[in-house]
Amino acid sequence: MLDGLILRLRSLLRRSAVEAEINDELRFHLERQTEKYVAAGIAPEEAERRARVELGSLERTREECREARGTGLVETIAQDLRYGLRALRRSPAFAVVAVSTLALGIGTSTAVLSVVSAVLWRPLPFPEYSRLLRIQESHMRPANLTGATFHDLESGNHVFSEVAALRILPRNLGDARSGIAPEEIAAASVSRNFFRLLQTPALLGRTLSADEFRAGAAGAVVLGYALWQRRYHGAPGVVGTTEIVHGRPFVVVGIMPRAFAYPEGIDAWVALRDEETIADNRRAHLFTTVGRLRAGVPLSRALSDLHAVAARVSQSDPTGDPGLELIAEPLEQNLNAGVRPALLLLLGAVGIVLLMACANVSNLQLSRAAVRQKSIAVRAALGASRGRLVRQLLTESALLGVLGGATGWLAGTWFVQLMFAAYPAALPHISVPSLDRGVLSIAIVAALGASLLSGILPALQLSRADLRGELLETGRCTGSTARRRIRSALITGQIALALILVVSAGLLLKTIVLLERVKPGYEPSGLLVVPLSLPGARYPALEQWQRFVDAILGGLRSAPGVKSVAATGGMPFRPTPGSDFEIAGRHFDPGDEPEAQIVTVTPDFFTTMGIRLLSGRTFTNRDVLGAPTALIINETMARQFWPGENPLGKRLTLKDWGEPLPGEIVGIVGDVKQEALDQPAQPAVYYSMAQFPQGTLTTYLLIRAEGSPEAISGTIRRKIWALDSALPVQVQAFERVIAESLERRRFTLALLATFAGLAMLLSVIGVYGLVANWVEQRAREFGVRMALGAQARDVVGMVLGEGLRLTARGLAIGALAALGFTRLLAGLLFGIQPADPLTFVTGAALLAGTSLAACWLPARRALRADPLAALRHE
Amino acid sequence: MSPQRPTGNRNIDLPQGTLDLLILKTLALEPQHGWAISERVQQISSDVLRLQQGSLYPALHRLERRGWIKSRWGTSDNNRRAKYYELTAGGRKQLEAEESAWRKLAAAVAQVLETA
Repeated sequence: MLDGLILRLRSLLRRSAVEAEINDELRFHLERQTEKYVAAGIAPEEAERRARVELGSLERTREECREARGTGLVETIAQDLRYGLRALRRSPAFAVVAVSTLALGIGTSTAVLSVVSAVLWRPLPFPEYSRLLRIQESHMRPANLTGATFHDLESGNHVFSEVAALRILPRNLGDARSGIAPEEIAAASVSRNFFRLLQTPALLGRTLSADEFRAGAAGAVVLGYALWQRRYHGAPGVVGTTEIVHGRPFVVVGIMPRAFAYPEGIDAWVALRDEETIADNRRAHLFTTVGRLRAGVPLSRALSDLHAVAARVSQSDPTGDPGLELIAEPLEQNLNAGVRPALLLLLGAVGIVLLMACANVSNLQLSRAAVRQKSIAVRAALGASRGRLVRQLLTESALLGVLGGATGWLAGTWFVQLMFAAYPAALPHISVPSLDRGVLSIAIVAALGASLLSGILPALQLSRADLRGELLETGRCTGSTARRRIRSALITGQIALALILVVSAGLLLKTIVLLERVKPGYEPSGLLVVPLSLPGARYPALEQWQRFVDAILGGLRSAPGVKSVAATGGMPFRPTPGSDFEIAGRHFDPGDEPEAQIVTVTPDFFTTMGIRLLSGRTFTNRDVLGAPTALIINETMARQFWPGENPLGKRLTLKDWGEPLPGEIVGIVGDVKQEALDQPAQPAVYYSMAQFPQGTLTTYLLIRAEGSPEAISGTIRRKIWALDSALPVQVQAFERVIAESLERRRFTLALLATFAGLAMLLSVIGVYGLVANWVEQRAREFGVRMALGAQARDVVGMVLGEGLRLTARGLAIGALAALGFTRLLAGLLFGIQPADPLTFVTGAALLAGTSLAACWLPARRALRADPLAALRHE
Repeated sequence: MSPQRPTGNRNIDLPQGTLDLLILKTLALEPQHGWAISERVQQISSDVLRLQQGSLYPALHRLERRGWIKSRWGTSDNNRRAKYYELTAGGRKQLEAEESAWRKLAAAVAQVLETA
C-alpha cells in the first residue's frame, strides 16, 4: 500500500526520471531483440526494423505505461495544459479574440447576475423572514389597511404571532440655526409590535419601549444606519441627545444595524401612538401592515384565516365595504415586485450574450480546425485515443474559459460600478455594488460551462480526424463539409439570438420615445417645485399654516427671476390624496361610489403649472372660507360622470374628510398625468386651498422661473429660511422629476441596448468569418469565373447571396423566439405591443444589413481573385 | 483498446486477462527483465502463444502498481543496465489464486466441450 503510494508519488514528482526509465527499459528491449535477429543471421537494419515493428508504437507503449502507473489523469492534464498554452501562444490573435469574447460574455453576465442576486435573491435581514407576510386589503387594486380593519385583524386573527402597522411620513429633521441644514427624512411611524415582529435589536442603544406608544409620552426616535452615518458621521454619542423632529424635541434612543432596511429607504422610526392608529376609521387606507406567522402555519391557512377576519368585519360594519377582502403575500416577494420583471429580463438577455460568445469561440476554434486537423490526425496515428484527443482539446477550451473568466471577472466588477454610477436610482436598496462570493462561484461555473460549450463541438469534430484523408488531402479539407455545417448552424443560432435582443431593445427604445412624447398636461420646463412638510407642532392651527404659505408666496412673487408662484397639496408623481364622492341626484351602492383625487390649489396654480382651462373659470381670491365651495374638475372626471352633459353648475359632496362638504363645479381643466406618464389620468377635483385648507397634507410650492430655474434656488432657500429655519428646502426642477420617473426604464434600456449591440457585433463577426472562409475556399472558382468574363456584379452577388442565406434562416428562427421573449417585456412597454410588426421588421432589416456589410470585405477579395494564382495554388 | 492486435494466423492471441498470469508465473522462477519475460513466455508455450510485446510493458507497470511485483535496476548477462522485476509475497499469493481459478475455468470449459 505504502509502496504503491510512493511509486505513484515518485511518478508524479520525478516525472522526467520516470519517463527516462521507461525509455531506457524499452530501448534495452529493442537492443536485445535486434541482437537476437542478428544472431539468427538477419542484416542489422532489417533486424532493427523487425524489432521495432514487433514492439509497436513506442509513443503508445509509453503512454500506456504511464497510464498503468496510475498517474495518468494528473499527468495528462498537466501535459494538456502545457500543450494548450503552447498552442495558444502560437496563435496569439486567436487567443486574444477568443479570450476577450468569453470575457465579454462572462463579465456582463456576472455583473447582471450579481445585481439580480443582490436585489432578488438576497435573504431579508430578519430572523425567519419567510414567515413574514405583507397584508393588504383587496379592492380594485391592493390597498393599505384602515385603522379599524388593522385593529380587527390584530384582535381577530388566529395565525399571526404579531401584526404591526406602519405609516411612512416625510419629517423635517434639525434646524438651520444649529449649523447643519435641516433635511427631510422618511420616517416610519410604527405600531407597538414592529420591532418584536422583525426580531432585530438595535445596534446602539435600544428600540422603542412600550411607554413611548402612550398618548402624551415624550418623543423618541430610532435612527437608521445610513442617516446616522450621513448626518452624524457615525458618532455613537448621538444616542441620548435630543433632536428636533418636525418641530418637536425627540430623544435619539437607538441606532439600527445597517442591514435593517424595512421599510425600504427609511431613515428613522418613531412610535405610532395608539390614538394615531385611528381605530374607528374604516375609510382612510393609511397603514402598511405586516404580520409574522406563528411557527408551522402554512400560507394557505393564513389566507383562509384572513378571509374569515374580513368576512366578520364586513358583517359587523354595515357602513363599510361589503366586499372587503384581506390578502397576503410573503414580504420578500412584495419588496421586489417592482424590479423583478426588468431584472429577469436582463438576466435572460445576458444569458443570450453569454451563449453567443460561446458560439463565437466555438466558431473560432472550428475555423482554426483546418490548420490543426493535420497535426491532430498525426497525433491520432501515433496512438492517441479519441477520448484523449477530446480531453486535450477541451483542456484547451477550459484554458480559454479560465483566462476569459478571469478577465471577465475584472470587466464585471467595472461594469457593475458603471451601472451604478450611471443609474443610481434605478436599483432599490443595494448601496454597495460588489460582486459577491456566491456570484464569483457562479462566474467560475459560467466560465467552465462556457469553455465546455464552446469546445465540445470543435473537439468532437476534430477528433474524428481521418489520418489518410488528412495526409493525402490536396488543399481542400475533408473535414470541412461537416465543419461548415456546424458553423452555419452556429451562425444561424447567433443571428436568431441577436434578433431577440435587437427587437427587445427596439421595443423598449420606442416605449421611452413614446413616454417622452406623452404630454403631462402641464409645462414642465422652467418649473420648480419645493415640497414642504409643515409640522403640526409649529403650525398647530390652519391659520398659522395658511399665514406662512401666504407669506412665502408673497415673498417669492416679487423675487427677481420668478414669473409666478403657487401652492398645491398634490404634485404629479407624488401620492395624491383621494376620496369618495356623492353626486347630487344620483345613487351609488356603498363600496361603489365614485372616487377622485383631491388637489387643493391657490388661484395662480393653473397658470403657474400651465394647465389649460377648458371651460368655466379658475379660482379667485374670493374663493375663501365662508363663500360657497367652488370645485374645478378635470376632463376625465367630466367625461366619466357627465358624458354629453355640461358639468358646470353640478353639485358634488366630498365624503371622506370629516363633515361632508358639498360644492359646485365652476370650471373644467385639462388632464394632468398625476401618477406616472404611463398611467391614464384619474378623475380629479380641485379645491381652493383657502376654502378647504384641511385638504392639504403636504404643501408643494410651485415656481415658474424666468430664465434659468437653477439660478433662483438660492433665493428660494433664503426666503423660506427667513420665515422658518427648521424647514428643509429641496428645490427640484420638474423636468428632472419627470426624467427620474423614467430612470428604471432607461436603465433597462441602456443595458438591453448594450447587450443587443454586443450580440450584433458577435453575429457580424461570425458571419464575416464564415463568408470570408467560403470565399477563400472558392478563390479558384471566382478566379475562373472572372477570367471567363463574369461581371463584378455577379461575383459580389454570389458572396452577398451566401451571406444572406446564412442570415435569413437565423432571422426566421429568431423572429419566432423573439415573439416568446418579448412577452417578458410586456410590463415595461407603453403604447406598443410586444409583437409590434414594425419593430420586428426593423430589427431584422438591421441585422440583415449588418450581415451584408460584413460580406463586403470577402466580396472584394473574391473580385481580386487571380485565376492563375488560384490554379498554381492547387 | 485491447492490447492484442491480430498478427499472422499461425499463433493464438493471448486470451484476455491471461497476460498477467503468464508474467507472474514466469517471475515465480527467478527475477527477470522485460525482454527475457517475453522470450520465456514464447519458449515455454512452444511459440504457439503470441505475446504482443507492446502490451507487455504496460502490464509490468500495472502489476508493479498493484504491488505484486517490484523492480530494480541491475546488470544483464551481456553487461548492460536492465530493469529486473521480481515477485513480491503478495504477487505469490495472487499467482496461486489466479492459477487455481484458471485451472477451474479450463477444466470446466473442457468438460463442456467434451459433453456437448
